[in-house]
Amino acid sequence: MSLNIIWLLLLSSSFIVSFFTGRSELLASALLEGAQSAVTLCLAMAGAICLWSGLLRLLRDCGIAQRLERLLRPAISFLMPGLGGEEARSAVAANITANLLGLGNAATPAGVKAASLITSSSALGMLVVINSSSLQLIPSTVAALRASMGSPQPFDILPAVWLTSACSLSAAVLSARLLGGREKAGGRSPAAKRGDARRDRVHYN
Amino acid sequence: MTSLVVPAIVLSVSLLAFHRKCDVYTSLCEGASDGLKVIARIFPAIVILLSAIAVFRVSGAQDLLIRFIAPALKAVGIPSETAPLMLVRPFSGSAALAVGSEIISRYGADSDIGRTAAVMLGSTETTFYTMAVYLSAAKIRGPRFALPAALIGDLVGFIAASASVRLLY
Repeated sequence: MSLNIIWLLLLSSSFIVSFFTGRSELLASALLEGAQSAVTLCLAMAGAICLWSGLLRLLRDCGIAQRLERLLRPAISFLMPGLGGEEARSAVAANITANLLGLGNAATPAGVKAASLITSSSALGMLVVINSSSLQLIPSTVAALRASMGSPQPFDILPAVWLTSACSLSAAVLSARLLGGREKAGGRSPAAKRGDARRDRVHYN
Repeated sequence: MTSLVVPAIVLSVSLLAFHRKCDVYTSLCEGASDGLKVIARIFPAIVILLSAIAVFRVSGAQDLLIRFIAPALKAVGIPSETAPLMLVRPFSGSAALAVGSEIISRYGADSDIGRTAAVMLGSTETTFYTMAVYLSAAKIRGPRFALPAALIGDLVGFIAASASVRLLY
């Protein structure tokens, strides 16, 4: 896992550099202060995250999310031609809707289901590319983070986030289209053959 | 204007849900309890990562890294202080959140650097993680273009985040 490497890299490079900068004696307190600051951060964001999760739950419970899903179908057929059957199309629609609304917990299961149903390699590529660029309309966690750091207008980054998301998504989709021009569909993936139990583990991503 | 977007969404969703005869209050409360679970889930990772990030900053390793990458970033208009965030963003969501919070608290939520970090966090995804989860679930082999295309998207996103913050604020 990449986090093993990130953790080891952070610690070992800090340890080595601190000898040269003469700050070795500061490391112990930094470790503890860093851990403590996580408590402060999580508590400071908790209110905003809970409030937003409440609203998202409401969107799902009252069927607004499902209605949005139906509205998105035509756009999805256009972006991913040859997606596969009805079930695959509705899983993709559910995945993209959940992404737009920031329903992280709903997006991944729908996306994983969609990925397992898709029969065209280029449509699968498009699904992965879309999911790895952020579609979220209201970045609520970042807003919660900004609010916890004392920003008077935590949501004033919205226009910049939309502009940036639009740029990165179009760049990703465009390069997928360009790079995928010559590619042929492949066989079963090695991971799918193995059967994948790792999916059920808790990911501290 | 943006200060109205979120309250307007909250109000209109509530009205619409009420109109559709939903139990608005119960759904909100149940969702809030989901939120608590979200925090409980990210908390262990944030603790571990923030302690490593604090050590990384205090030791001087972070300054060294920033000084090393600064010229390349300057050429495309990205503030070099956001370098650690860009490096972890494709690998880990909680590490990105931890690094981002460190940057925002250090430079201020409404500074250009703090804003750029926030926009980067809000408009990019955990590319490698997403890739791994989705492609391992698929029954067919994913196309080779997927990873490079997604990484190009991330890079464009980082540049666009810096440019839009400079342009809009």
